[in-house]
Amino acid sequence: MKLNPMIGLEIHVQLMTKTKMYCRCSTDSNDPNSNCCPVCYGLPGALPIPNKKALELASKCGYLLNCDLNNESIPERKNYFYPDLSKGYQISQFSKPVGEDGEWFFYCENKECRVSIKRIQVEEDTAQLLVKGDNSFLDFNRSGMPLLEIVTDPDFSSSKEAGEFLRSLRSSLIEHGISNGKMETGAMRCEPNVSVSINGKISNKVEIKNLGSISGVEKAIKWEIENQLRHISLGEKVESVTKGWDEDNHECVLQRVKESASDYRYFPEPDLNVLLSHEKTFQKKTPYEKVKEMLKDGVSYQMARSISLNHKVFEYYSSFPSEIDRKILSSWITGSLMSIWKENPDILGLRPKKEEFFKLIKFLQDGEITNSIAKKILPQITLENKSLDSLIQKMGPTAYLPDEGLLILVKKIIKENPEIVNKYLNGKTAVLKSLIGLGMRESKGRADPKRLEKELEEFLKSYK
Amino acid sequence: MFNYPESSITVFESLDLAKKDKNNIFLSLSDSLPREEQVPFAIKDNICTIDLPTTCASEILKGYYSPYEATVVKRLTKNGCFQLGKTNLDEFAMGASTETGCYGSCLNPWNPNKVCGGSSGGSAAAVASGIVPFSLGSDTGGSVRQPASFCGVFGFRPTWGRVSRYGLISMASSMDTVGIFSKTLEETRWVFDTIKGFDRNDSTSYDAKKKVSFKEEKPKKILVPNIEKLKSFTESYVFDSFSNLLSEVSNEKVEIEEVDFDIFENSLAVYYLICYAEVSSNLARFDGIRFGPSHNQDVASWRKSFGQEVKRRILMGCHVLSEGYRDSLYEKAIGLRGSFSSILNNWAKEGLLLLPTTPSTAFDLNSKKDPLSMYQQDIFTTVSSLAGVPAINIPWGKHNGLPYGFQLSAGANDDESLINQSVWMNKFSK
Repeated sequence: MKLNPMIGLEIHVQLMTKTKMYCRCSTDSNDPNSNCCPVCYGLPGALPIPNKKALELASKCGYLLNCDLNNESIPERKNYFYPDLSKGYQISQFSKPVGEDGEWFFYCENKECRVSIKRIQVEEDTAQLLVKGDNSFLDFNRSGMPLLEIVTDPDFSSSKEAGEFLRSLRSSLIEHGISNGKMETGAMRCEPNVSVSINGKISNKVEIKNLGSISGVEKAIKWEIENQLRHISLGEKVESVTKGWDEDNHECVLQRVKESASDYRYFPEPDLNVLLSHEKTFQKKTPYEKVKEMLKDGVSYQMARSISLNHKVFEYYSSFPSEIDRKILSSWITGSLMSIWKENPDILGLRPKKEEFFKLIKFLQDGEITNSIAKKILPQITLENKSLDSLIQKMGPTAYLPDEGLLILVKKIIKENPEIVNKYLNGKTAVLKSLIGLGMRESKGRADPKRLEKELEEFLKSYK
Repeated sequence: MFNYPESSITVFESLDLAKKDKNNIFLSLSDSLPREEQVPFAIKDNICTIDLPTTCASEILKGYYSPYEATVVKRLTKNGCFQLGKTNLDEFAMGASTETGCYGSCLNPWNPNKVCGGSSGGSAAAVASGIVPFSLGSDTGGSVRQPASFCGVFGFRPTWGRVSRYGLISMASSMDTVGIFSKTLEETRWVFDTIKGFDRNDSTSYDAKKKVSFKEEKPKKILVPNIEKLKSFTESYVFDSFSNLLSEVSNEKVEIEEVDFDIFENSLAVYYLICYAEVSSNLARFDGIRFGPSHNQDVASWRKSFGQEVKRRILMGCHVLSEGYRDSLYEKAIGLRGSFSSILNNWAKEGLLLLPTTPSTAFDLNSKKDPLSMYQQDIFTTVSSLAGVPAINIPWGKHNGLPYGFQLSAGANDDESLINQSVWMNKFSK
């Protein structure tokens, strides 16, 4: 039996606009029901007014995802009942969305992947329903927030692929100011649908909701695939249901059974004219293209991946001239620098000043400074705004110890630490580490730890 | 600034008359006092006002005060008009007799045993009774023109989009318009000029490019439906008067041409299918959660308090849009609407379309129980609604003391010219 998991994603992102999709209320988060007007409340007689900026961002996303853009897309009413739906219908799109038939390339574990984008469309968010005890509360601040829905074909074959797709997509959406991509606040939501193709025949789809992070999406999909495979191996049928991810118990929980396909009675929204797209071409380089470029420059996949997932990091990376060794540059950025930036997100891509970092890498590249000295200096030029030159001046020599210097150091260490040396000679070879540590300290970071280790071993051998 | 055409009615007389209202015209009246120079007007109770409740004559909206004001009301008030009161209508503007609202029927000022037409019956009756010089109604399939015909006043439906719908509670949005009742065409024009034009709160509203001043204008040609067919669809007194008019007009050397009648017959079904569909969606917000008096009753049961006609249209609308029926009903109607629209706009390039507004004078109260016979009232009015073009009722004659009117219809955006040609045509009225 040939079993292939098939995963499709429905992604909702909140567009980064100052005002809502169909009225002039602010999109800022605020006290409940404070950013609301007759349109948000769905009051009788109120009419929607389209947000041009939202349509511009939607078209931008369409261009990014290589969609066929409809110059005139049609707003349509999706009719259904729910207490959080103020008008009894949502203004969405159906027959002619903003964009169709797009594609997105991305890397997953150093493998190139492609996913078809079925459609992207603009819609308005619903109000928020909060249940507290016996009471239900409605907050209409969210009602009418501008959303972009991105629907993919079921092209993903693993949870990892879906996750990597989301990471690269999110990074691009943030880069181009389309959305802030925050899943924790609900500004980006993802609902995967999972099915399994059994010898080419596709099982029923299971939809998963309530996912608050990309790793949550991956975990839920992984769990659901294993669950479906288990059922299939037992000869059971997969039911077409909607499930919710339970983060605490780490499982997908049944939410509702689909009796029949919902009939939303779509029809063109008569309160609006057609929505005009504001097609704009712009310079785009997707995370996929960034990784590809870095791989070509000899950067390792893992490093290229993490640099590509934040456009500010990539910008920083690519601002250095070609004389800079890309391997050294990428390992310093993804290593020490990104952990500093993680702690201090406001200086990401801004500090250290490019000239200073350029010098540091150049020194490293030319062997004028040792790794461990550079590691000590980096936080100072990044966080304390000190100049590299003055730091180095104060330190005296910073280059690696030459051979003879290293030999003197080794002799000194061995001579001054007879106890450790004895332990080593008695078979406790693990103490070599402390000798190396002493040597590094003694040399003020100028010894090359690998060479120091080698020299120490050689020297101790002659003691036996 | 404020330069309203001469009116013989003062606000104070209006208030006195409105307070004595025996015909159930008004659902609410202003309790604030107006300034002397203001011109009083009445507003159909499906147009939102802040100071007066807005109920759509429905249990669901009993006691509802809108927190915002309709653009049309705002513009009139800003231009020296006084909101005298809100007028009776069919529930949510669904009907042609002003009998279906929860506040009871509005009686015809000419004969209290007759209906005043609908759905804007109250607004038509308010002008006909001399309480106000003009009033606002809403016309979706004929709801201004038909009561204007039954009450003997001018009733104007503008091109869809030229007057903002912001604050008009939607029935069938793609055909809803705010219309004007008045006793003179000059007043109709003044009100239209005051309320028309782009509104930032209605993205389907716009300014028309052409500027046309108010004057008498002779039509270059008159188009009429096939006379033989017309005869079988109208009462003889309406038909005879219509034939007389045609001979008078041709004496004035205006060419008259007959056009196919089928479009009028077919328009009813097309109109109602689209109307149902939009009604079912527009009224979904009255789900019992946010509207309707609050008490512990099950929220869903509030929908029971809709009247029969409203329920019928909601159910039919859900049906025509549902999977399996949508293509053969809704989509087909949309296709036909498109061809009707181009036919009408092509006709308009040749000349004005002249029709009776209603097949007869006002009928007896409670006499039309069958919805289909009520829908037949709209046979001459729905085509212009589907095409979105302007049309006007000109009060024409009387039969047994009851008025009836004729209707002129022009091409999209020719509203001003339609009013001007009505001035010419009005010379022949009895």
